[in-house]
Order: sequence, then C-alpha cells, then structure tokens
Amino acid sequence: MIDLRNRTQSRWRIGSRLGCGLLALVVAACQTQAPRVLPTFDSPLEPMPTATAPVPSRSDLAAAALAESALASNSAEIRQNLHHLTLSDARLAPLGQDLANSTLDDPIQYREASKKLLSRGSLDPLLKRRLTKTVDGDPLSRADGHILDHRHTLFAHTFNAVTEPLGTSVFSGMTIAPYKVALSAVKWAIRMLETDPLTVPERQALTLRKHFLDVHPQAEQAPKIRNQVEAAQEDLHATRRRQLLAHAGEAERSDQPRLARVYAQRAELEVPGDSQAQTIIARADKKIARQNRLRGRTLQAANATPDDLDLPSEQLAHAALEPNMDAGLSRLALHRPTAVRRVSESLLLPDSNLFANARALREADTENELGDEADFIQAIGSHEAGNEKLAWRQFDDVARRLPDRSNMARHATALVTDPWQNPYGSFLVEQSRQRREETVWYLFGETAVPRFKALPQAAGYVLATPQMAQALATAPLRHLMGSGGKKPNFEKGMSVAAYRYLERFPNGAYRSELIPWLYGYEEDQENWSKALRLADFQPGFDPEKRAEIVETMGRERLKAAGKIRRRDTRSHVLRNFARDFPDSDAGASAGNLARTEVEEASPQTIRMTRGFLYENPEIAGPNGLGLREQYLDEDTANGELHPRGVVFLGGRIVEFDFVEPGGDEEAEPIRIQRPISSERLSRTISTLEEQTFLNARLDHEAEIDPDARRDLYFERARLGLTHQVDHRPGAHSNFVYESMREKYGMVRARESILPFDLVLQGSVADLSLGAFPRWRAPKAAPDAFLYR
Amino acid sequence: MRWIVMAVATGATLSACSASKQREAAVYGPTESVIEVIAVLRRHVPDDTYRFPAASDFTKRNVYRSTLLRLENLEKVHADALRAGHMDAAVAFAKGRSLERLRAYDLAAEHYRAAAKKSPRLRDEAVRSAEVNERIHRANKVGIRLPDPLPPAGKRDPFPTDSDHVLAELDDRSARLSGLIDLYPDSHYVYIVREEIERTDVVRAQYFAAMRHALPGGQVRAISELQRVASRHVSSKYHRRHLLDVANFYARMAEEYTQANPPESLRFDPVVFQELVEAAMQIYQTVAAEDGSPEKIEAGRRLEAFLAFTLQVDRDRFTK
Repeated sequence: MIDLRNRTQSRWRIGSRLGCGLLALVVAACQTQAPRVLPTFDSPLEPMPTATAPVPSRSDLAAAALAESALASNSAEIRQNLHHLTLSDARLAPLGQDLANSTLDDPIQYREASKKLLSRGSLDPLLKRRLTKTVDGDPLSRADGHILDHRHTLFAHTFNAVTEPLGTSVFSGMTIAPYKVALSAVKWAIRMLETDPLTVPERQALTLRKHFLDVHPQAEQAPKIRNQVEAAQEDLHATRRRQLLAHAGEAERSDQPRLARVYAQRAELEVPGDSQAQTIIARADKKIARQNRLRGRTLQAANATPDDLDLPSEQLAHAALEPNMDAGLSRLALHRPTAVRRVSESLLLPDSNLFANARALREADTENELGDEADFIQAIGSHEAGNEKLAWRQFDDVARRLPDRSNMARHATALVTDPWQNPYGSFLVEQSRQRREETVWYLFGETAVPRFKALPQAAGYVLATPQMAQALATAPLRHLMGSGGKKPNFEKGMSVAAYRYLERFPNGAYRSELIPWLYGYEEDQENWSKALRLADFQPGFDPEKRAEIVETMGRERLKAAGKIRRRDTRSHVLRNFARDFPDSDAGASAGNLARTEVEEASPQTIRMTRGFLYENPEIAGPNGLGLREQYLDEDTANGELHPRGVVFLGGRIVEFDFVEPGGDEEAEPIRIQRPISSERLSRTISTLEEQTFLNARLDHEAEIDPDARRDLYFERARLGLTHQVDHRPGAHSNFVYESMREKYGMVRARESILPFDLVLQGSVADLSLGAFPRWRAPKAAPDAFLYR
Repeated sequence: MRWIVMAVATGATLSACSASKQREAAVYGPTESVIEVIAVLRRHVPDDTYRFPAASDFTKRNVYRSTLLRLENLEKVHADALRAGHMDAAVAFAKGRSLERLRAYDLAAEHYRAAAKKSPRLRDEAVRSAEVNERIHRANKVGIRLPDPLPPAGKRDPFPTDSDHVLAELDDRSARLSGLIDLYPDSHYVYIVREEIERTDVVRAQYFAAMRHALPGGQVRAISELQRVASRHVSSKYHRRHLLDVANFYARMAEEYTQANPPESLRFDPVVFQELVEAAMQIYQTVAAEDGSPEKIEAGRRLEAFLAFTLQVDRDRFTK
C-alpha cells in the first residue's frame, strides 16, 4: 500500500515535473522569437562551378570568322562572313555590320556608315550609344556645335539683359523700369565690347577645324574649312593682341615698365604695326630710361666736399689708387678731410663707437652740412644699442628731410619703408590700410568696381556709382541683418608684418605688443596650432584656456588626419599628435587611432557596398564572387551581407562584412576575412570591371572614377600575380563601388526641360525684389581651360 | 498681378518636369562582347599615332590598353563559352594589335604567332606582323636606353662615357627602324616605327643632356641634340613636348649659371644670363600660345615660374 502510494506519488511527481517542463518550454517558445539561422561564415562562398566547354553555335562560328576577316582586312571574306552571320543570327547582324564598317580606314566613311546603320533603328542600346558617340565625334560637327554655343551665349546675355531689369522692377514699381533697362543696356553694350574677337568656343572650333585639315587635307570640305580657319586665325591674333595689351596695361599701372614692354612687344608680333602696342613700348622705354638715370644717380658721389672742411689732408701714395678710378673719387680720396676719413674708417671697424663717431662728425662740421650723416650714424648706434623705438624715430626724422638738402634722406627712407628692415613700421602701415579697407567694406559692402579691357577705369566707377550709393544707404540695415556676406580677412598683411618682426627681432621692443595681437588674430582665424604656439610665448597664459585650445586643435587634427589618403602619412600625423599632447583627450584618441591603423592596416581597401552588389547581382553571382545567395536576399533572418559589403584587402584576402545576428544593420558588422583562390579573384575582378564598363556605357552617371592604384591591383589580380603582395603605402587604394542610390540619393539630379531658370531675386543692398526668367547659357566644355 | 503669379506657377511646374533617366537593359553574350571589342580596336588600327594622340574609349582609357584589358576580362568572364577555342585566333590577333601600340613588341609577336597557328585566315597577316614586331624589338635592343631614375636595388645602369660608340649604336637602331618603313610603306607600322625613331632621337638627346658636364662641349652638343629632335619631328604629337624640353634645358642652364655665379658676385655676366633667359622665355611663349593642348598650360605655368626665378636676380644685374 505504502509502495503503491509511494509509486503513485512518485508518478505524480514525475508527471508534474514533466508538465512543468513542458509548460516552461511552451512559455519559453511563446516568449522568444524564432531562432535565427546564422551565416555559415566558414564557407560564405559557393563552390566554383565545374568548367564546361559548350559547342559553339553556327552564329558563334560565323562571328569568329567575321572577326578574323575584319582583322585581316580581307574585304571579300568580310562580305561573305557578314552574310553568313546575318543568316545564322539576325540579332548579331548590326554588330557584324559595324565590325565590317570598322574596316573602312577613312574616319569620314566610317561615320557615314555608322549614320546609315543608326538610321536602320532597332539597334541594341550599347551599339546605339557607341555609334551615336562616333557620329557626334565628327570634328566638323563638334566645331559647328561650338560656334552654336557661342551664338547661344550671346543670345542668352541679350535675353537676360532685358528680362532681369524688367523682372526686378515689377515688384518695386515700374517707374524705375526705364532706368534699370537703360543701365542693363549699357552693361550689355560694354559686355559686347569686351567680348574677344574670337571667344573660347570659337577657338575650340578653330582647333577642331585645323585638326580636320591635318587629318583630311584632301577632303571635299577642305577648301571651305581652310577659308574658315584663315578668317578665325586673324581674329585669334586680334584676341591675343588684346589680351597682351591688357597685361601690358596692368604692368604699366603697377609700375613695371619692363614687363609692360615685353607684353607690348608680343602684342606687336601678333598684329604687326599695332599703334597701341607701339605707344606702350615708347612709354615703357621712357620710364626705363628714367629708372636707369635714377639708378645711375644712386651710384654717384658728391662732386665736392664742403669747402670749410677742406682741411689739409694726409697725402696718399698714388700707387694705392686704381688706374681707372673716377677723377672725382680720386680727388675725394686724396683730399678728404682727416676727421671725415677717420670717422668713415672707424665706422667699418668692429666694435666702433658709433655715438662717438657721430659726435666727432658734428664737431668737425661747423656748418652742419654733414649733420644728417651724423644723425644717421646716431640712429644706427641707437639701433645697435638695442634702443629700437628711439632708433626708428631717428631714422624717420632723417627720412622726412628733403632729399635735395640731405644726402641721407633717401637712405633713411629706404630703411624705413623696407618691410624686412622695419617690420614694425610695415605693421603700422598695414594697420592703417586695414582700417581703411574695412571702413570701405562696411560702407559699400561687396560692391566691386568693374574693370574693362576696352574702356578706361573711370567707366567702371561711373557704372558702379548707383550701386555704391544704394549700398551706402542700406549699410546699417545690411549689417544689422547680417546679410553683408563673409567679412574678408583684412588683417592678413598685418599678421605677415608681425610674424616678420618676431622672426627678425625675437626679443624686440614690440614683441610684447605683437604676440598678444597675433594670438587674437590666429584665434579669430581658428588657426589653433598657431594660436597655441603664440599662447606658449605669453607668460602667465591661462592654463585652462590652453587646454581648451589643445583639445580644439586635436579635434581639428583628427578630422584632417581622416582625410589623408595615405595610411603612412595619416599614421604619422596621429602618432605625432599623440606624442606631443599625451595628456589631452584628443592626444589619447589620436594614439588609439594610430594603434588601430597599425592593427587593421591592409595593402588594399577596395570595397563593394551591399547596395552595389544588389544592383549588380552578376558580380556576387556564380560567375563572379560566388557568394551564397542567402546573404544577398534582403532577409536578415538567414544571414545577410552588411551594408559595408565586401572588401578586397590585397593579395587574395577578401573581407565579408555580415549583419550581426540581431539583425541590426546600423551595428558594427561581423567581419570575416578569407583567402579566395586566384582563379575566383581573377574572375570576380573581370566580372566587376565588365559590369562597370557596361553600366558606364548605358548611363554616364554610372561612370566609375579613375583610380590607378585600384587598376594596378586589379591588373595583377587578373593575371594571378597575387602571391607578391604590394605593401607600399602609395599602392593602397580605398576605392568604394557604390550603388546609384548611394551615390546620388533617392532622386537623381534632374534637368529642366525649359531652356531658362525661373529666378526669384531679392537684395537688401538695393531693396529690390523680383522674378524673371534667366536664359541658361551653354556650359563650358571640360577642355575650355586649354583655350584661355 | 494675377497673371504674374500664374506665369510663375506655370513656369515652376514646367521647370520641375524633366526627362527621367533610366538605365536601359542590354546584355551582351561572349560573342557580342568580343565582336564589339574587336570592332572598336579595328577602327583604330590604321590611326597615325605618330602625329595624333592615341584615341580613347568610353572609359577615357587609351583605346589599345582598354582593348587589351577588356579582352582579358572577357576571357575570364566567359571562360566556359570561349573554351571551345573558336575565338582564340581573333582574340590573340587583337591582343597583338593592342600590344604593339603599347610598345610590348615581343609579347605582340608571341600573340601573332599564336594567332597564325590557329587560323589560316589570319596566318599571312599574323606572320608578317610577328616579323615586324620582332624586328622592332630587336632594333630597340640596340644601344642605350633611358635609365630608370628609381631602379630596383642593384640594377643601376649608368650611361657609358664613350659618346661615339653610343651615337653609332643609336644610328644603327634608327637605320634598322627606317628600313622597316621602306619594307611596309602602306601599313600602320609606318606610324609605329616613326614613333620608335622619335624615341631613339629623344634617347640620344637625353644622353647628351645628361652627359653634358662630362663630355667636351657638352652644353652646346646637348642643346643642338634637343633642337634636332624638335626640328626632325615637327609633325609629331610630341612636338610641343620637344620644344618644352629645349626651353626647360635653357631654364635649367640659367639656374645652374646663377648657382655657379651668384648674381651678386663679380663673376656674374648679365649678358650670358640674359641670353639663356630669352631663349627659354621665347620657346615657352610659343608653346603657351598653342590652343587646345596640355603643353599650353605647362608652358604658361613654367614661364611664370621661370619669371619668378629671375626675380631673385637683382634688377641691375638682369633686365627683363
């Protein structure tokens, strides 16, 4: 009974335990999600497919025969094989026809044949684009296109000259419209006057036409093109003459007559006998002659010594004189007063007492005719004694004397105005210039006085006057609203002079004034490393402020280091910062980053994002990388590639980045690095390149940026030369293949179908508001810079 | 006022309209791809690359280099489809045509030989091309080559000092190459050979430029050799480059002159310096006036840099 009861209890216990266990399992099953299938990271790739060799079809054989006959340039066979190809596969016929056309060695004939092929229609998009590009590549069509661009630009300027003043007058009252239209008409007229005889698009057209004549001198169109080239060539000479004369004018204005002469001479070579060039040459010659005269004068000595100093001199031996010495100099040498000679000789000796020399000169000179020389020597003495402020006051005093009364005035002026000799003086000059320019900017804002090639400078002032008046009237409002634009750096010249002073006189009298000024300047400019250096030169500088500068500088330095492409340079910058500022947070971050750089460095970091692989499934597919399909099926439950994608790390090592098991795509990926076979790598890279070429041909926005380092790695990988890893930092590429969405966002740039933009324009400067259509001028060709 | 508002609204609506861009689908199989690549290459086989720069394809790459890369890609991507070998001869021949324009004459000859073996259709032309390439390769082995400024360790190959021997060898190379023009006057090899002759002349001029301090009358000889290249190859695409070489040489001499004779020293001769400066400036200006070539920019910038260099010479020692 007891046994039975015990057994019953035991059964009940077992049953209750089982029930609890089952209940717990059911509860657990209800509470947790379905278990995730984790990626089989050991083998993220499918096995490579077995090689097959399908028997070529009739069309394949016909195409091969056509290719061979085209390469051998055998016309009869080309015709025959093209016929066979067309019969075997009509789809290949246009491609075959193009291949046959390519054997026409004359580019004109090839373009004609391509036009004919295009006119057939129903070509595949790749062939259609290629042929269209060929037809558009005709130099004569391109030249005509450039001429059209030139005319289009002229029209756009004219159109805008009318619509803009009208549009901006509507809201502010049509009463001022006539004034605005008149002003716009004047500006348009000046613009037309300023337009070169041969504009950049016309120069591009000229070059293309010349190229056509070089390639096809006997072409049917050649005589007509030759006439066009000759006419344009004359305009080109006129354009160059005009540009050179403008340069010559600028050189004249900046008092460089020699340079002006060179430009004017070149202008005369462009248009022989040009009167304007000859006038500039004549003016420059006159100025050069005057400069030479002045220079000659600086080398002359005074003709006579003051009479009252004509004391008996020591007789010098004639043998000491140079045979070709000037007679005046000989006389001075032989008859110079003893006191003057003693002073002049003493001045050249080391450790000479300059104050005593100045005093001796004054004592010997009773009529004070050598007083300025004595003052000059006194000033030099003051400077050498370290009394800088007094010395420059004395030099300044001598410099202010009249040059025809003082021999030393010009020398003192040269010293006082030399920015290297007198950097503090230069600092003061720059300061007054800065105040002047800042005031002008405050009053007139960014109103610029236009400069014209064809008109005098006064015309620019006349045109700018109304704008300047408006800017002056609205200056307070402009600055109140902060719409005056970015304030230019007016203090740059001052900073240059201040640094120059500290370089020249590190312990100079103005050091304590200039260092704090420079510190404030660099802080305003956010040049933190310079500000820190200047802070360290200031005794008692606030340590907290210093620490703050270090942190700010560190953040900037880390940001800048992130933009450095070469890993060795980047690492060097980070290590240096960590070493120089070990106690700062930024220094610690730099140290960590430098360590990560070393730990994670790889010869290459060429990456394909997941988005790119979604868009181009062939690359990850069985004929490419062979990534298991489940990792690119947009389902994180069975394992998915992380948005970072796949990275080629150099050699045969590839990194696969997977979304972490929780499915969080924002989280750091799980990185799996695996070597893949040379064959798989080579095939993947070939597929990648072919796919990107295909995309680029179909959509110019899908063009891949050039990267020589990436291409070098690909080339070696394609040939299976990956056993020798290129570890040079210069060979490292961090190119990223991105999807179109990653590149351009959800909506790609759109071009308006209208030939003009609708502009809504308001300006605080002239209190105007308006709306008008602005005709879009054609964009400059990418190679326009080669024609300026 | 209402009409203005309406006009603005209509305009804004219209300007928002645009032609949408969508990538068209196009898939080329192996045969189409190979035909396309060969068609592009074949079109540029007769190009005169001596006078005009090599054409570029849609990737903006040199068309011959691009062809080679694409053929190699296609061989990998369509390995199975091409394994039957029906395209082997055409591919090998096309690679030969590309390689010879990339100066890999020995490799080009190998590919031609392979094509000749595989296709009776291509045999004659392939054998002829292989022979020409081998002869160019053999000719290029005669005489000196321009040394690599950064040679791999232990591979330094200094210029010989016997200039007569160097000259004789380079003349021999030129003669061998010129002989090929006479043999194949109507083929595209004329242009390739002319390019090689031009390179031989450049090697010769650079030899004398490099050896000018070691050879008697070296400076004059170097200048005359550089000018010889510029005058012999007036129609070359590198003509402006040759002119720049002459100008750069004058500029380098002017710099060396100021280093040897500092302008403030008594040994400095303003007339000598002026002659060097004028010669360099004149050529720079000539090249800078040529529209549409990168050398225009280079000449303009070099002229500016050279003028900046002359600023260090005092005004009383040099008059611009």
